[in-house]
This record gives sequence, C-alpha cells and structure tokens, in this order.
Amino acid sequence: MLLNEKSPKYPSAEEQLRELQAFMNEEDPELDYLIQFSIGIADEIEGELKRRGWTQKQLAKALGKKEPEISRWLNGMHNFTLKSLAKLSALFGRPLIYTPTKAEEEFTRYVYMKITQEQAPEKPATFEHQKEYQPARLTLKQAG
Amino acid sequence: MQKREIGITFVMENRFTLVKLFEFEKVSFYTVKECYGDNELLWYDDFFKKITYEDKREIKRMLIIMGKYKGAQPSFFRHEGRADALPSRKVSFANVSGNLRLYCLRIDERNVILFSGGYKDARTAQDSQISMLFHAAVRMAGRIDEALNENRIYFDDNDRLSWDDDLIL
Repeated sequence: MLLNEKSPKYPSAEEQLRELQAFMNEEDPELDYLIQFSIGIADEIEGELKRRGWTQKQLAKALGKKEPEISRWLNGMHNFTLKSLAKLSALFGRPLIYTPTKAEEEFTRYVYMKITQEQAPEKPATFEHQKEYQPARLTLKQAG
Repeated sequence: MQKREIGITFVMENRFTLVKLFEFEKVSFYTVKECYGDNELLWYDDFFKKITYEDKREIKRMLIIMGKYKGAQPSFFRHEGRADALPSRKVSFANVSGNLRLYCLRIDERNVILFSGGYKDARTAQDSQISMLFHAAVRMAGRIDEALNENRIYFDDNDRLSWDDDLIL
C-alpha cells in the first residue's frame, strides 16, 4: 500500500527499528521534566476531583470548558499556562503547584528535642523516642 | 503460421506483518512492516521521518506517558471526520498537535498499533497524501481485526499481542 516500484530503497526493517528505539531511549532531561510536571499536575487535579466527588463534566462546566479538553488535561498531554493553573487554584481554593522554596516554607516543621544522658560516661548512652516517634531509635556514642 | 509472443508477467505483491516497536509497563506499541520485493518499510518509520524534531519529542512524550503512567486511555486519541464513518471510525489519530496525524489502532488499554501519517494540510484530507495514508490505515485495521478474530494474532499471558513468525496480514 505504501511501497511500489517507484519507492526509494529504504534501510532494512531492523535498522529502522533500531533507530526508532534509539530515539525513544535517548536521554532528554527537558522532556523528563515536562513529563514529570504534566503528570504531577494531572494527578493533582484528579485527586482534587476525587476529594470533592466531582466528575470531569462538572469541572468542565465550572471552568467553561468542553469535557474532552478536561480529559486531555488529566492524561498529562496538556501544556498548562500559569494563567490556567491560577484559575484552577482559585477554583479549588488552594495552590495547585508550589515552587521548592515556597513548599519548604509551607511544609517544613521543626521538632525540638532535649536529650539527657543519664548513664555513666564510659558506657554507651541510649535514647529511645517516645511512642509517637517509634520505631526510630537513636544510639549516642561517646566521641573519640 | 502466425507468430505469437509469449510473455511471463511477474507481479510483485506487497506483504504485510506486525512488528513490536516499544514495550512499556502499561502499553506495548506495534507497527506494520511492509515488504515489496527486497524493500522494507515500517509504517511508523515512514511517519517519523516526515515530522519535525519538536513533534518527534511530543510523540515520544505521549508514548512514555501512556506506556509508563496512564495506559492507552481513549483521551489520547481522536477520530477523523464524520462520527458515523464506519469502519474508518476504528482508526484514530494521536491527539498531539493541531494538524499532525499519527494514525493508530487502539486495540485496548495495553496494545496500540501505530500506522503512518504526517501533516494534514489546510484543505480537507480528501485530496492530499494524508488521505491515502488514512485509507491504508483503515484497510490494515480491517486485516488486523480479521487476524484477531481468526486467532492469528492473540493475547499472551501479559495481555500483550502475540503472533507466529509467519504472520501475513
């Protein structure tokens, strides 16, 4: 159907296959990030829909979009603009994405612990966390 | 005595089979291998050679997202033209960018056959090269369907397509 006597001579099918697979396996950090971001955002929207018990149709209606467009948002092939991410965040009442610095500010919690060594210095002192921190266990060793 | 010319005409036939292109955790992708004499062509390669580098990366993005994360969900595919145009309805195209057409046969969530394609021009597809490729895809989809019904193409234990070495479509 695609080949006839006028067709140019192609490399062997094995060679064509090798080249296609090589392109697929080629390292492409930019594409990796693009996939990571688009899947991350798609999962985030999907999670929010589940939490709210919303269908894609309801989200489409809330945003004035068509349902197939929302399906594409959720399959990870959509290139979101900052404007559309802001619109979604406003609709959900929470940021849909965070930059690393903002995330650190928002989510880092500091825990202050006071450790008292009660055992004789020549023996290794041990400290066991309280129940809520288990199963972590710290062993303090003497320096030197 | 009348002299008669005796000629033997050898008609070369195009032969078709399937080739596995890429295998991912969630989806396997295949294409058609066409042979004409000793000339061979993978249909997906025919498509791949015609498109820009940026579109190659978009296609790669889509295949990885399907293959590793989402499976071959219907939302990755669109249909050409009239919704009632059966059996061409079976053949869809990858929903990547405006006028790019990679014709596909989505067998199920785990198996997708990639045909050829290219750029659809501004006019209707009817009078362009892309129309020929679409109709070739539709005819091949019919043959693949037939082979599936006759169990010449079957599903292995991992629900991926399988066939014997001598498969001719």
